Amino acid sequence: MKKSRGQWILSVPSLAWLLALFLIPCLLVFAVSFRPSGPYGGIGEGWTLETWRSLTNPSYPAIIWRTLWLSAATTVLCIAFGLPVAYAMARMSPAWRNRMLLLIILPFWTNFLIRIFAWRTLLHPDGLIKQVLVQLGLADPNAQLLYNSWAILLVLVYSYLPFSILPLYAAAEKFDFNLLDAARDLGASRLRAFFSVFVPGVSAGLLTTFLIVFIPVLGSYAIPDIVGGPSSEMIGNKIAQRVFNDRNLPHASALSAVLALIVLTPLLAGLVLRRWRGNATGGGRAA
Amino acid sequence: MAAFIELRDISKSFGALQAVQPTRLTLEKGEIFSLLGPSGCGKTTLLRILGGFIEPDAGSVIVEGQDLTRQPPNRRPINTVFQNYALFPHLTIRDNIAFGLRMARRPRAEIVRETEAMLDLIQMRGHADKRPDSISGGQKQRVAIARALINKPRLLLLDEPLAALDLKLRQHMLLELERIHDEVGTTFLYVTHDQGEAMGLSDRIAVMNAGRVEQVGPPAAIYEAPASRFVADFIGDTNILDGDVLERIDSNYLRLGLDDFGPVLAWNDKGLKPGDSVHLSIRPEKFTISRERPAGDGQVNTIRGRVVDLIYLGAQTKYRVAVGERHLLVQQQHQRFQLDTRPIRWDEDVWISWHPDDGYMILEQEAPSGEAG
Repeated sequence: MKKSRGQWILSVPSLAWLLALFLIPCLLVFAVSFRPSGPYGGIGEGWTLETWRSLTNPSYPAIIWRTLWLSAATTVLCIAFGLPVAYAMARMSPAWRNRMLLLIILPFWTNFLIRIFAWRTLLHPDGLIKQVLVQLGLADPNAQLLYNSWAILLVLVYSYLPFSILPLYAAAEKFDFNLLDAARDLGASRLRAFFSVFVPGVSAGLLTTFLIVFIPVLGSYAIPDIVGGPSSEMIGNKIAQRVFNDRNLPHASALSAVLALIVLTPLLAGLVLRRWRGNATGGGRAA
Repeated sequence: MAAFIELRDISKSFGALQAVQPTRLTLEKGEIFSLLGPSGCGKTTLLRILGGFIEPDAGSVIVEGQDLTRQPPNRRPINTVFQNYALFPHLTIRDNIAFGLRMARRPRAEIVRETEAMLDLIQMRGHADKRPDSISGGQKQRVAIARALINKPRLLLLDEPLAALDLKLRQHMLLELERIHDEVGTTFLYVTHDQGEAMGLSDRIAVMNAGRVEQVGPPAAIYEAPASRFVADFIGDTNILDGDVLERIDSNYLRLGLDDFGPVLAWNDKGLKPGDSVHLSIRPEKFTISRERPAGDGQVNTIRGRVVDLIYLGAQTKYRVAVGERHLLVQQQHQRFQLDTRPIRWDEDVWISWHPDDGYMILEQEAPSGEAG
């Protein structure tokens, strides 16, 4: 650390903010999970492991598993759709790039919840998508498009795709496209050049995308609540249920702590990976 | 007999810009051939057409009798050393070099063997596990060459490979390139705007200007007998004197009337007749400069002038000599111990002389109209 004292002082307000409003509340949540629940929704006296024991309820592994695979699938699909878009944008003329960027952030001009409700309307048995699919003979008239994990996955990918395109584009924009020529020159087909040179070339963007898609999706609550059914809950819905319906704060806290641990694991893995990559490349490029 | 590599009437336009006018070139097996010209002359376009990165509007690329014009880069026995090396930053030096063999899915043992041999060739074995961003420019250059040579191409394209290096390293890398060429014997096509590199390295040079090849030949022929005013100007320094033929002396010599200098003798290698107009190119080092009028037997051209500028460089001195309205560049090599002589100074009146054989006549170009001369 070669930072001077003055620079440290500059970061004091933001550190204090994070400490008071982020770290301490997190620890409080963690602490509450070890308290008994009060009979009228409050927090009881003393300390207990009862709440943590109750997490062994067999319904939880299924919900955690669903949360994990939905998050992983969303991340993979967002990267799969985002990479070609980022590649194409990086090769466009600056004027077209700006138009594309505008189109990608255009959905943010409409409220998030409204867009999810729009999906519910589209996927509804009388909705446009269902009707078109049935007309084309691609869907059974009795098929249920809404209230299942696939509807959640569809809307999650829709919602998080811009968040994957932007970091991938930022990485692709810095990519030296001469490297693709070099790979082609050395015998790689277009596809092989893309995977053996372009994908590693934007690895910093891939890592960012993983962090900013996978982690928020783990904690998503509104999307499964609106387009998913009771049989396709994610962990976020369970936490909300415990808080608002059951008024069992210790139980909600324990679930939140589990989620936080699940989030921390890939985050730490990402940090370690980044450090390792930084060392391997001589720390030349910032992520 | 078919040529080893042949460009048949290749042409290419980008919009309204004719980047390469119909061009025909042949390369011989094992030679170092340079495309030399100022930026924007079309040399890089030709290189990219050979590499397969640009499709020509017309014409064909023939390698050993095979038409490769429509083949993508990965199906051509041609590899490229790119201008800024284009090394893969995520791979080690060893993996960069092995890339071509991996793409060709060669057996593992062969990849290891060939890669190690290449590391030896470029003397980089000690750096094999480093990444490109932790080695120097000259080392990157050598890695780029090794990476391009490992697939044993029929032709190696080098796109201004030394442009990013400093002067000293450039001279060292020229020798290094020559050594590598001697060892592998691959045909090199070397693209550069630096005449020194092209002259020093090449067996033959094609001088390009505005999308056309102006002259093809060995370095000495390009230098001594430039085919056009552009070539004479672009390669080295020269004095170009305009005039026309006054009379033929005999079958070998003729007398020229130069616009500012009066009559001089010239070697008639072009079979010119009185009245033909001509440019006489005389290289600065072909002149002799002296205080006294040289005792010629009438077979030497002499002109009276005044020194307006001089630069002493040790081995030689460069003079600028005013003759009437014109200034001539004169360069004198010092073969004798200079402190024993009384050197020519500024403002001295001098005689400059040259043998008629040492000037070279360039005809009026039959260049297409509208082209800047």
